[in-house]
Order: sequence, then structure tokens, then C-alpha cells
Amino acid sequence: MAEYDVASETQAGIRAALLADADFAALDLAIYDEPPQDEPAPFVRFGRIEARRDDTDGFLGWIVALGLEAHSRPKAGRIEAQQICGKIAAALHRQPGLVTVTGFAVIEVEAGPITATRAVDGATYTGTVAVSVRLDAL
Amino acid sequence: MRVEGHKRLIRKMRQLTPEIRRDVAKAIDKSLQEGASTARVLVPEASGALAETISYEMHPSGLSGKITAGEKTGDGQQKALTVEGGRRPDARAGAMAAQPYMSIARKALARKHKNRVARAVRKAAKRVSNSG
Repeated sequence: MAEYDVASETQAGIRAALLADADFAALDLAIYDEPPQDEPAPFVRFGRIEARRDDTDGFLGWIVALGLEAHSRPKAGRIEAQQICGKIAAALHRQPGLVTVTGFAVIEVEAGPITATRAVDGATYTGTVAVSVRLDAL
Repeated sequence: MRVEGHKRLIRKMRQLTPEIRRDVAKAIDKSLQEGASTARVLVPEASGALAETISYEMHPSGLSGKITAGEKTGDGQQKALTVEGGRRPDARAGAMAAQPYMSIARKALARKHKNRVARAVRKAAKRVSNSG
């Protein structure tokens, strides 16, 4: 499977796992690959995704690193962005059984570190959770 | 008192150093890859192509390495530092909030890396002691 396929499949698996998580779903947030223009915050968007091979003697593996960005409402501050990131991390961290990636066994999912910084508009904040997914080909 | 097996022990100790070096080098390489990848994911997209410049290199000894960000020019390095640490307003430009990506990646990796190296040393020692 090519690098971009692994990345896309992982993205789909992470999205489905988040939407299936009751605590995250309670926030009622949309998760976008690319949000529509003028989409009102808060929402979650996939940031950078990169997949690299991690083969061992017995397995063909991949490590997919991706960022999930939480965009806060204007004046809601850093807190909102951090809270959304916290829910994302809680839903995914060390929960490989909850993430399904077509064609792969999900060996481990690590969510964190988290960072939240003021966006360029000066009014909103963007939080980012770094997520790392280790996969073995089936 | 007679001590037996000391020649074998000395031979094993000699074997151990290159075995440990090789395994530790692998562990360091893995940590560097992971650290660079985390920093690339965390760096704000608004900083343009900065993510593309984040890379790592191993020292020729194989026992250390570094993760770098920014083009290898004065301006490039300044940009990487400004995104990481922010900027106070001056005559040339306004203030910019810090958007740390490197220090956060390093903190997240620190304990994991220490454990990874310790595991590599233990594994190499066990392998040498179990071999003929």
C-alpha cells in the first residue's frame, strides 16, 4: 500500500473513532479534512499527516503521525481549544482497539503532546494534538 | 581460590561494546525520526514551509544526533526561532505569539527516549551473554 493510502485510511479510522467516542461526540463538533470557507468555530480539522515505514523482521509496518487541530470560537480563548484537544487525546490515547484501519492491525495509538496557540487572526486559538499510530500489515 | 570462566567473561565484555553501540544507535535514530515527525505535525501551518525544513541528522559516532528546523541561512534560522519563541514588537515588525513546536516535541520524547536507550543496552547485554 502506498504512503498516501496508509495516511488516508488512518485518517478515516481516527475520524470514525472520534465520532464513536461518547465524550467527544457530546461536544457536537464537525471533523474536517478541509473545512468549508467561513465555517463557524469550534470545529476540528486534520493537520499535517505523514506516514513512514516501520518494518521489522517479521512484519511490514507503518507509523503514521498526524495532527488534529481544534479551532476555538473568537473570545472563547485557549481554554476551549485545550478542552477539545483533551477530549481528542482521551478518546484516542492507548486505545488501539477503537481505531480501525483497513488492511492493517492497529498496534498502538499515542495522542499527545498538545499545544494551543493564538491564531493569526488574533481572536481565536488553535490547539493541536500530535497523534501517532503504529500499524502492521495484515 | 580459583576463578574459572574469566577468559570467556573478558571475551564477552569485548563483544558487548560494539553490540551496545549498534543497538543504541538504532534507538537514537528512531527517537530522532519520531521527534522530527512530532515537531513537523505541531508546527503551525501558517508558518509556511517551515515544516518541510524540520529534519534530523545522526552524528558520525552514531551515539548522538540533532533535529533542526529552518533553512540554513540567517533569515531561515531566525524564522524558525521566532515561531518557536515568539517576538516582541520592534521597528521592523509587530509582536508575534510563541508557537512552540520543537521544545514540546523534545519534552514529549525525553522519557520515551531514555527508556528506549536503556532497553537497547539491556537487550544487547542479554544477547551477548546468551551467545556461545
